[in-house]
Amino acid sequence: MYYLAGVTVSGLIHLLLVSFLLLNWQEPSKIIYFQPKYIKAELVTLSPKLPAKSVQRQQYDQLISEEKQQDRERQNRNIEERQNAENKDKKVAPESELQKKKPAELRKKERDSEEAQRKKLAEWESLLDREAQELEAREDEEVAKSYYQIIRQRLSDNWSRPPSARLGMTTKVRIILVPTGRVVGVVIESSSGDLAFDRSVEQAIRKVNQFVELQGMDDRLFELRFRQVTVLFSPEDLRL
Amino acid sequence: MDIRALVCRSIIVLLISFSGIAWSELVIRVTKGNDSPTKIAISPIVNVGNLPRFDISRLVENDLQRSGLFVATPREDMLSFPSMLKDVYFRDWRLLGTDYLVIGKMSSKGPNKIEIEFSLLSVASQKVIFRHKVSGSAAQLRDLGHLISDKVYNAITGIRGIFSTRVAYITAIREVDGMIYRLHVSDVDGAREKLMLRSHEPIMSPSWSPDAQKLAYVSFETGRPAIYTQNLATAAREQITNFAGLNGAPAWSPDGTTLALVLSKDGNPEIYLMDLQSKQLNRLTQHFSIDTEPTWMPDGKNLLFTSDRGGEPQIYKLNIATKAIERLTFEGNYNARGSLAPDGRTLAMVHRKTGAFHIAAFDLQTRRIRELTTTSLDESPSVAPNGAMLMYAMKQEERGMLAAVSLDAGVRYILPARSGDVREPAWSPFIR
Repeated sequence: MYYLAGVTVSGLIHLLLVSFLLLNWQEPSKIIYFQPKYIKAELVTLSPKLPAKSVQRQQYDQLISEEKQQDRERQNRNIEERQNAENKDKKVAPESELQKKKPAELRKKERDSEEAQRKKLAEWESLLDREAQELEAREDEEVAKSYYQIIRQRLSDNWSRPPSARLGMTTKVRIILVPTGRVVGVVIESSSGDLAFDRSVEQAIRKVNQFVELQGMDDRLFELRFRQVTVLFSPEDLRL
Repeated sequence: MDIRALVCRSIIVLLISFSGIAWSELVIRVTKGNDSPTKIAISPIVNVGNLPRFDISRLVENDLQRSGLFVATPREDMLSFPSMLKDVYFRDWRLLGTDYLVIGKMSSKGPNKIEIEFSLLSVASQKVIFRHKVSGSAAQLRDLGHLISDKVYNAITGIRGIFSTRVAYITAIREVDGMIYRLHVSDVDGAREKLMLRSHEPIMSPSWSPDAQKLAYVSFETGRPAIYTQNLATAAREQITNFAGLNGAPAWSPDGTTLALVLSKDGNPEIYLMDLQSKQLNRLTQHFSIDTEPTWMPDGKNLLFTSDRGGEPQIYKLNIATKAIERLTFEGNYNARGSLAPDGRTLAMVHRKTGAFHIAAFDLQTRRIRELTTTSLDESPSVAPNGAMLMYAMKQEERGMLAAVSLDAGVRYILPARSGDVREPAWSPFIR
């Protein structure tokens, strides 16, 4: 008799199991997301190099410090004046309107001149910024030129022109590089009109495959100038 | 302070404008090249099914190498013989220094029909440049091979291949019953030689019709020179001239209707035109000296010819309509036997400056002469229809041989030797 509870319970469990099986029930699969403990990466900022202080820069600094001092002096004076005025106001409250007008005009004048000065400064600032950029660009230019020379030489060495090549034929290509100097893409931007000539150009680039010398290059310069390089192939040493 | 600022500012502006100029120069210009033969690998074309055993890949290899623009990768160096794209491991071929790879397979399509499917691959760019099919009978295997060579050559060099063209030439062999002259036509590689005419008397100056169906030549078979034309396919002959005196140097006009030739029936050798339909003659030159060897300009309106009216043989140009004559060559004391490249600009000719006769190329635009050969007694140049090569007759160990040289003077090869003298090659036009 006391088996009845046990039997019913086990029967129920079996029934449940069989029904689960019949219903094709599955334990919902869990998607496990692996969370990395920390992200190993650094924020790279391509901070531009500070250009050497030029003569103009020094002059400019001097000017600024002079102006700053003047500003400070003026401010001090203003404060003093204002304090004086306030004191006066306190002492003689409703005095003549003439006296009131005068400082207001003065103040306006001062504000104008200050604004003009600020504008001038901003102008200077932008000019100098540009100058700094130019200086840097010219420095880059010098370095880039030597790399261009390497690229030109390597392409020249590997360029075998077909007999259909003629003087005046020009193929413009864009070479896509990765920082190891490996060529990952060649895009013909303008064709010479001669299929074999264009093919010889691509063949030359593919034959070089990797400009090993570019590996040591400054990252910033690479991104700026060598991620994509445009090359013009136009023979000048042919007979016809 | 104002002046100072102004000066500073102007300096800066100047600097900016200068560097702006330098900045715009971002393009690399490559103006020189290193022209070397293209390295090509012809993977043996796989023979699917029971087909004649013929090494078509070797034929293609030889064709391409003979042009001087290709070097074939030796078969024993190949790591695999792929016939399908999926079997190609570009890295292997790259290691061999191969620029291009040709793969293909030959299969039977019905009775006596063979199909060859072939692809040209660029190893460096790892891509397929083209994929083609050619088909023909078992007897045409050589033609199929030459067709493959033509396609590959054209794709890489940008100029039409000449491997399917033919060459006519004359042999002179001493046999038991005296000197025997023969006119032959063969493939440009010297294979499949076909006899057109056999004679006890000299045969000279073979010239192709522009459709490559006929030959014109001079034969002395009647004891006197006469001009004949002969159909290549049917071997049917026709006598064109039989005038007293010299009948020589026939040259087909570009449209194939007219023959330029040299006749001395009116006294001394002069250049005439003959309408092949009506056989009407039109005399072009009137001079007491020798005028000979007419060559057509591609426009069909001008002829180039050799004349010694200046005291020594030189090349002249003749306008057919106005009969105006202009002397072209002044360099050297002998310039003759002109053969014009199809661009109408480069004239191959026999040239002598000091002692020896060389083959030289004369540029009609710049009027400059370039010597192409260094052997002596070189004669009878004949430019290939693609203008890239020319064939000429030369002497080697006292025997006449045929040689070919590229017009850029890069390569030279001698055609397979045979007994007797070989002379006067005439390169055929393109065969359609």
